[in-house]
Amino acid sequence: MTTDVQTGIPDLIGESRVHRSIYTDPAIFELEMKRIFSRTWVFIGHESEVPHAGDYKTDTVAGQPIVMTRDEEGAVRVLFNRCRHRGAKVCNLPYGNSSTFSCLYHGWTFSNKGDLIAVPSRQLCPANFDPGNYPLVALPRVESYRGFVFGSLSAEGTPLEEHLGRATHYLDCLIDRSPEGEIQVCKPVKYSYPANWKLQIENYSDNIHARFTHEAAFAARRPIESGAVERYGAGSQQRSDLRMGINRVLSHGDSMTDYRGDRPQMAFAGRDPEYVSIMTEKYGAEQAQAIADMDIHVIIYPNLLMHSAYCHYRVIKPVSVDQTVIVGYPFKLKGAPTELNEAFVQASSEHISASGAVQVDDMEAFARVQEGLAVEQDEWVSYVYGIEEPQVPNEYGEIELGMMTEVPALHQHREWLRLMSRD
Amino acid sequence: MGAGESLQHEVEQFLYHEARLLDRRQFNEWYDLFAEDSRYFVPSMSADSDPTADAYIVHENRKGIQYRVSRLQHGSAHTQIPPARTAHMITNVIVEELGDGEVQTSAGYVVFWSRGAVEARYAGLCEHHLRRANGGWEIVEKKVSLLNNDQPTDRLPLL
Repeated sequence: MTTDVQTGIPDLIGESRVHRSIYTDPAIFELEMKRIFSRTWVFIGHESEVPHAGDYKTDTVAGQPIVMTRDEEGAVRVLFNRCRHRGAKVCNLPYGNSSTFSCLYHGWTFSNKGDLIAVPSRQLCPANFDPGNYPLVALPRVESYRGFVFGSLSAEGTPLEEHLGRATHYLDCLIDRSPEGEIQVCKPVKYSYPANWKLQIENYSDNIHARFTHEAAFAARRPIESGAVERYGAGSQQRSDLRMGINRVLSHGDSMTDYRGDRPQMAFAGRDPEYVSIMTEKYGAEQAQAIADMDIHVIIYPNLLMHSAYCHYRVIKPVSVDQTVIVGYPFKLKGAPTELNEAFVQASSEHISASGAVQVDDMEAFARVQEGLAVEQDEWVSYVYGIEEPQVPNEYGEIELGMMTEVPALHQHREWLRLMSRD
Repeated sequence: MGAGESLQHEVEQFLYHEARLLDRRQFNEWYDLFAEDSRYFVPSMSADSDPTADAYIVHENRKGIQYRVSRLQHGSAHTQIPPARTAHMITNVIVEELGDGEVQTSAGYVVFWSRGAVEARYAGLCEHHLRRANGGWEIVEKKVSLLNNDQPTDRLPLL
């Protein structure tokens, strides 16, 4: 079975279609965990989640338990959460602060750097037993970009910044909306849906679905308005129905959407006079307003989705071929007005919670796609929108496209194929 | 200080009434129970999450609740096609008098949810701050703390 899957991989990704099995075949999912999530750079977490020495956060990467710690010298580390003795997880809480991790099973104790510092009943161990040989295993590669910590389970590969390429520019754009050039990540809200992980990352660059999938949210919002919109107003009512925005395909499956004023009701930061004034001191009036109004989505393949207008990011966690968890983290812009940061948290929560206004409809769509893809007689998933638009790289190597396009998803599939085709 | 028998009974009847409105999908009547200055919370990660600092599952004022109810009843609310069936259970009700015709209640809370082939259940603590109004009660604040609010959940019912 596995051999068949591996040799057949290139046939699954066409120019403008992909085979249903990439969403439905458990063997392909297993291979994705090995060749994508255990190989390329994946987003782990943000340094502001562990601000003080001893802070830690537990999580999983490719289904494997990890702990992100800040050691006593202030360095952020990512270690496998697995005792070197008999394998138990040494840390069992989602967040906490501790300078050591003691295994509940036989009491082996590790520093938050990972060093094995205590072994009970040491006299019973062999004479040549050396605790130095048993530190918690660190992820083979961990690098961070301005606080965004990425890891790779593969020792070989390109350095993080080189891999991210042009995506670092858009990370800069998001981070530099903070007057201090730093963000503070909040505690998250999580959702899950009974469908494949790729449906979420494809959806994030898809601006075609919104008026169908989210029709109820849009229709109900117009007469009422709530949350941040209530506080900051809806902005210009001259909506363009998403005709001003553009998409840019970057490298390695990454892409971004710049809505460029298409969603004034969502880009409310530009209507906070205090924030605009703080930014004006730093950047001058024109650039400050542009930064405040910024409304972009950034996708860093395979697991990070970022949203500037509501200030949050989401992390994709594949569970099985037809089950996915998404963890959504609002973030605050350090130095921005308190009211604005609170509005970001509220808008993000309303947008992405499992009881929210918008994401629930996407979850419904993902679930129905997964159910529909059970049809074996219809093997292919088709992409038709915007695919004949010329794809000419600009001076930054970005391919600029219109708003209504499925081309960014096709580029994700090409990166999928590149990673899945390597042994 | 605990409530007398008749107040206890009256408040319980109100909570049962609210639960029944949700189960009958009488969302507009449910919305009418909320006071002008009301708040509705479902925290994420912990019952003690700070709604100004942390993400939450629901954090709404009355307008937000109206938006929610309006969305759910729109013909294209895809999560309602087909509609879910719910059974909201309220039990172990403790009523505390706050004075000035206001009470604080806390209750054990279970929601069974069924939609097509999918079933789910949610349990936790449901707390109400109620105020006397128009011969009955209005909701000043409702807070639902789900036991599993630190775990990912699929499309949630109206809690």
